[in-house]
Amino acid sequence: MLQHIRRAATILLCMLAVIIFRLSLDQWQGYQDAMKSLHEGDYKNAVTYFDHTLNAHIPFSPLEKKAKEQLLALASKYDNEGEPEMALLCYETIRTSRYLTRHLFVPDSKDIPFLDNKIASIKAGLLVKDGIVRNFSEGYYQQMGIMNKDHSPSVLWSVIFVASFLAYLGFIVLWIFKRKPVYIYILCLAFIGWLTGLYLA
Amino acid sequence: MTRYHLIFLSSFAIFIFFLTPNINTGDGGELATASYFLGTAHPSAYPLYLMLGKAFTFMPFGNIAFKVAVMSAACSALSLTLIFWLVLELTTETAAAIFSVTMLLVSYSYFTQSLLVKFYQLNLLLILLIFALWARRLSARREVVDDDATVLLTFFSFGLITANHHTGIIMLGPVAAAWLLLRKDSLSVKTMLHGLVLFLSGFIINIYLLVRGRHDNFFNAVVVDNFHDFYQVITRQSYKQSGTIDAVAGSFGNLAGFWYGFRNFLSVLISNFSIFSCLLFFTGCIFLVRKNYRLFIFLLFAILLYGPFLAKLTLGAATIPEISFYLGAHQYFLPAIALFAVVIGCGFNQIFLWLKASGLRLVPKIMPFIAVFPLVFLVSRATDSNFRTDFVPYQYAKDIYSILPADSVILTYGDNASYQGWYLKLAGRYREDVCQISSGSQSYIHWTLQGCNRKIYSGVFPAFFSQKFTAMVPDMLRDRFYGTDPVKNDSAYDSYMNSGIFSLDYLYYPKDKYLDNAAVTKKEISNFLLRRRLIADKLLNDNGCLTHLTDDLFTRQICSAYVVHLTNMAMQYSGSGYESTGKTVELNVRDTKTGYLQPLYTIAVTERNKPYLLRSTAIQEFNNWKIFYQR
Repeated sequence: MLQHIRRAATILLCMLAVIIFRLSLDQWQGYQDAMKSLHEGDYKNAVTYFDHTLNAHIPFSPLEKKAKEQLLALASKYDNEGEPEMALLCYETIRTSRYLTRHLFVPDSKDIPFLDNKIASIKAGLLVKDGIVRNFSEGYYQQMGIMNKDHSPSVLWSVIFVASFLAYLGFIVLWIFKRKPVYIYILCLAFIGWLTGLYLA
Repeated sequence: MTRYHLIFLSSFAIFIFFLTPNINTGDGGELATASYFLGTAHPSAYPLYLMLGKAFTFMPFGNIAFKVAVMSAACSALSLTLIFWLVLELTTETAAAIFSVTMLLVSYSYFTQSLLVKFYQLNLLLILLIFALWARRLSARREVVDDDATVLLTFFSFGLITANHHTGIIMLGPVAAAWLLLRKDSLSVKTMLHGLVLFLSGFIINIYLLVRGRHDNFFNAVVVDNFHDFYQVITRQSYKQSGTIDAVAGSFGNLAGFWYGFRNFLSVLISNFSIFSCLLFFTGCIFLVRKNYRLFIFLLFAILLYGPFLAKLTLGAATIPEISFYLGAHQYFLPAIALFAVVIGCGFNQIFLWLKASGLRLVPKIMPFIAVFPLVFLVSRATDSNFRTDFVPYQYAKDIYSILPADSVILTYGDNASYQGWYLKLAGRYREDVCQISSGSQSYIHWTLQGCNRKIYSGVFPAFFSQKFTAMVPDMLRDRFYGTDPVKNDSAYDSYMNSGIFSLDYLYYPKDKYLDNAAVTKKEISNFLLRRRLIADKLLNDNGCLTHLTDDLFTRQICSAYVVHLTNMAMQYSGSGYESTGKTVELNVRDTKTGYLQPLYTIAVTERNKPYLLRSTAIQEFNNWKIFYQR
C-alpha cells in the first residue's frame, strides 16, 4: 500500500514538474518578447506579452513580479500622457490576470484595491467626458459598486464538494474490487458531503 | 518506474508542452467558466467534466482555462497508457505496443483534442476503460479472476458516461456483443442488481444539474429549474433532430447516409494515419483472428459503431462543408481512431513475426526504432496543431471588450465571441463596466444574460432590462450598444436597428423612425465611429494572427475580424488628405463569421494606409490554408 502511495506521489510530482517547466517557459518567452517590444517602443505588443507572462502564473515567480511592475509603469506613463484608454488596458490586464489565475485564493490580492481604485477613477473620468454620468463621484461609486461584488463560489464548500466527490468515486471503485461494507458507509458519507458542498458552494 | 509510468509521463509531457496557453475556440471559454463557477454548459451540460475541471482549478499554477485543459492532457495520457497495456496484452511485444501509442499520439485528431478545453478525451478514457475491461475478459490468454468486477465497473462507467458525452453510450453495443460471445458466463441476479445500483450511482451525478442549474445561480449556459428542464437538457432536446433520442431513433433512416458516412470516416482515418495504415490494419485483423476471434469481433464491432455508424449520424452527407467536417471529424471519431491504432499495433506485430520467421536477424533490433518512428510527425503537429502558440481566442475576447467605451452593452453571437467573452468577463472580471448579452442567431430576438447578471447591472443599464426597445434608444444614441456581428438584412433586429462598422465590433443604432433628426444623428454617429476607430486601433492587437501555428478553423475566422478592422483603417486613411502613392487597391473581404462579403471598394493607396493594407494581406495569407482533413 505504502509503495503504491509513494509511486502515485512520484508520478504526481513529475506531472507538476512538467507543468511548472511549461509555464516557466511561457513566462520566460513572454517576458523576453515583452522587454524586446518595450525597447523597440512597441508598447501595444509589450502589454500583450506581459499579459502572457502573468497568465502563466507560478507562485513566487520573479518574472511575474517584474511583468506586473512593468505594466504598472506603462499604465502610469499613459495616465500622465493623457491616454486613459491605454492606461485602463494596462490596469485591467493586471487585475484580470490575477482573477484568471486564482485557485484557493487570488494571487497578489493585496494589489486589487489599488487596481480597482485606478480603474474606477479612469472609467469615471471617461463617463463624465462622454456625458453618461453627471459627475466624477457618481461614476466612481458606480464602478466601485460593480467591482466590489464577487460571485465566485465559496472556496471552502468547493473544496469540500470536490474532495467528497472524488472520495465518492474512489470508494465505489474500491467497493467493486474489495467489497468491504465499510466502503459503503464511507461513500454514503462522501455523497452527502458532495451534495451539501455542491449546494452551499 | 514501470513502462506504463513512462508512457503516461512522456505523453503527458508532450501534451503539456503543446497545450493551449489560455482559452481555445469553440466551447473552451464556456467549459472553463462553468467549471470555475460550478455552473452548467450547453446541453447535455457535462456535469462530470465540470466537476473534475473544478478540481483542476485548485492547482496553483497557470490560469483557469490552462488548468482545465491539463485535464484533457491527463485523460489523453491515461488513454494512451491503456492502449499500451491492451496491445501489450494482445501481442506481448513492447515494440508493437509503443507503435500503437506513437501512431495514436501523433494523429491529428487525437493530438489536437488532447490540447484543448474539451470533454472528448474524458469521454474516450471512459470508453477505453470499458473496452479494456471486456477485452481482458475476452482474452483467451489470461484467466480473469474477478469477473463480477468487470461487469460492475462497466455498469458504473456507463452511469458516469451519462454525465459526460452521450456517444459513450454506443459502447453498449460492443459490450452486449462481448457478453453474447462469452456464452459460458451467465450473469447472476445479484450481480445484475448490484450493477443496476452502480449504474444509478454513476447516473446520480447528473443531480448536479438540478442543484447548480437553477436560474439564480451566477453562471449557467442552460437553466435547469425542474425535472422537465432536466429531461430537456440531458437528452439535448434543444438540438432537435441531433438530440440524443431523435438521433438514435433516426439512425437507421436514409440508408445512403451509411455509404457517405463510411466514405467520410475512411477519409478521416487516412488523414490521421495515412493510406499505409490500411495495410497494417489488415495484417492486424489477421493477427487478431488467429489470436482470438472473439476479441477480433468485439474490436471490429466497436470500430464499426464508433466509425461508419457514428459518421452516418454526424458526417452522413454527400458533400460536407468545411465547418461541419472540422466539427465532426475532429472529435466524434476519437474512440474509433484509438481502436484503429490498437489494430495497427497488432498489424505491426504480425509483420514483425513474419519477418522474424523468414530469418531476418536484424529485425528484432530495428523494430524498436520503427516503433518510435511516428514521433517524427510531431514536427507536423508542431506546425498545424501547436496550440501553445494560439493566443488568438483570448486576445480577440479581450479586444472586443477593450475597444468599447465605458458602460457599454455588447451583443455577442455564436460560440467564439460569447463563450470566450464569458470566460474573460466572468472568470477574469475584465471590463466589468461592460454588459455582455448573447444570442445564438439573429433570426429571433432572444438574448441570454450570462455576461450581464441582473443582480449587478440592473441599476447600471435599466433600459436593457425593461424589455422595451424604445427605452433602449437613449442609450443607443449615446453610442453604448455594440455587437460582434452586423445587423443583417434578414435579421429580426433589422426593423429596430442599423449597424455601423466600428472595429472588431459593430455599433448598433436605432432606425430612422426612432430618431427625431435622422440626418444629424447619422452624421454624429459617423464622426463618432471615425474617432473611436482610431482609439480602437491603439488598443487591439492582431499580432497573434501572424504567429499562431494552428490550422484551427475558428482561429482563422476570428482573424478575419481583424482583417475587417485593418481594411476599414485603410479606408479611413485613403482620402485626398493623405499622401497618395499613385496606386489603387481593391478591397474584398469576406467576413466569415457572418458569411457576408464586404462591399468591394477601390481605394487609393497612401503612405498612411499602406501598413494597414500590407498587414491585412499578410494576415489573410497567413490564415489561408485548409483544415487538415481537406489538405
